Amino acid sequence: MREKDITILLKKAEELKALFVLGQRVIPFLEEIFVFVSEIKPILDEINVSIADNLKKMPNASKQLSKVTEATELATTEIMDIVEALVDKADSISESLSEIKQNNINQSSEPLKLLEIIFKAIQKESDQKVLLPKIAKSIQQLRKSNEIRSEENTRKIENVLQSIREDSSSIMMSLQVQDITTQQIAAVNHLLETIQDKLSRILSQFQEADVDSLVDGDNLYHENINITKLHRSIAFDPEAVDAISFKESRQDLVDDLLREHNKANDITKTLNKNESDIPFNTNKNSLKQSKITEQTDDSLETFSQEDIDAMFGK
Amino acid sequence: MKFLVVDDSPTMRRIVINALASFGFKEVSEAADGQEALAKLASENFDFIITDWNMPNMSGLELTLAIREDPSMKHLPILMVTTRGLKQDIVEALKAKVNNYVVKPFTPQVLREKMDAVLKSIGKSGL
Repeated sequence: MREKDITILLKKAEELKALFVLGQRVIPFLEEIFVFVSEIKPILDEINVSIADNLKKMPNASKQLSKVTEATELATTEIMDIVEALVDKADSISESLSEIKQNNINQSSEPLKLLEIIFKAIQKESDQKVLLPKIAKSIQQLRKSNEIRSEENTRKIENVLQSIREDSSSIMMSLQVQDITTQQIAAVNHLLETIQDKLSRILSQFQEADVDSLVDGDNLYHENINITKLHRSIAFDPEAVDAISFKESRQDLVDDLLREHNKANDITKTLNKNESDIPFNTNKNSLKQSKITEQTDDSLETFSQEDIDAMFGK
Repeated sequence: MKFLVVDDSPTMRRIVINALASFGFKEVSEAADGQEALAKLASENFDFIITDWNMPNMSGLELTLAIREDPSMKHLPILMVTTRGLKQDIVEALKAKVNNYVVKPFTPQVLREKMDAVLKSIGKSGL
């Protein structure tokens, strides 16, 4: 081997050595990168899950707000229909009052006519036998027309007034929509607060690089809170809008359930033995198992007033 | 007959109070949540309670349970008036021993019917 070759070989060996030294220095750095990537992965997963979760909630919030609008529109239409009917009824009362006014004018002229007959008769010194039946007839007609007109008008106005009372009550009831839509908006508000809270926590923990707490932090979030702060603390039912959408059938379904339960007569089976002194309408002797004790998926079914009646008894 | 109307919504309290007035019941007190209702029950006598379910501080269900646990009030008739219409809700209400259950929105006829049913079931004459 020539001297030149040996020099090249030694140079290559030096390069190889330098490569090994570099490798030794790089390995801890690569290890750090590896650790960082394995630490960051749960954060990225968490962010991914959170974004996906929040994205899922957004359409729901939008749907809820849309239903609020729908419910408000429906209730407003109902109220406007009633108000229009009230205006018609007010017109009807006005007509009746005009009629009464006219009747009063007529009625006041009739006694005058009668007095005129009497006056003329006395003036001419007419025969009483001819005169008296005429006067008696006039009096009778006057009395009869007074009674009929006054009865008719009174009945008519009373009917309209009763109808107005019922309409006012209907308006009052339609305003229940305010409570229902408030609950719906409270639910959406709560949802937005939850999303904001969750995202800001992730952001804050990500900035602090507190990986472990971020990953464990998922357990801190619960969706079961049903109170939110608007102009006052509002407790809400997230499903409240169904109260409007299915208002015709909900109470019937609930009544059916209660009737059914009442027939089964076994509320005591669903309750603890110590709770058997229930004050409401149930037969404590039956040992039949009530359907409502079944823990099935249909527990999310909504019920109407008839269902409720079935359980509680009408 | 003296009523206690419990609801966190002032609108709903007013609606129920108006309905009661139309039935001829003028003696009505109101509370905005279960806690306030319990405070009123401690200082006044009532014959009938109409309560919402979803309320801050103390729900209608918790109020019902508290009333049923108190020997001096346990027989007070309670009518639950709520938006909650799920089967599991009604079962919970039954377990808490409410006397009857009305889902919102209700009509005055339904409210009156249920009040009547409750009064009959506890041996008092209807409305």
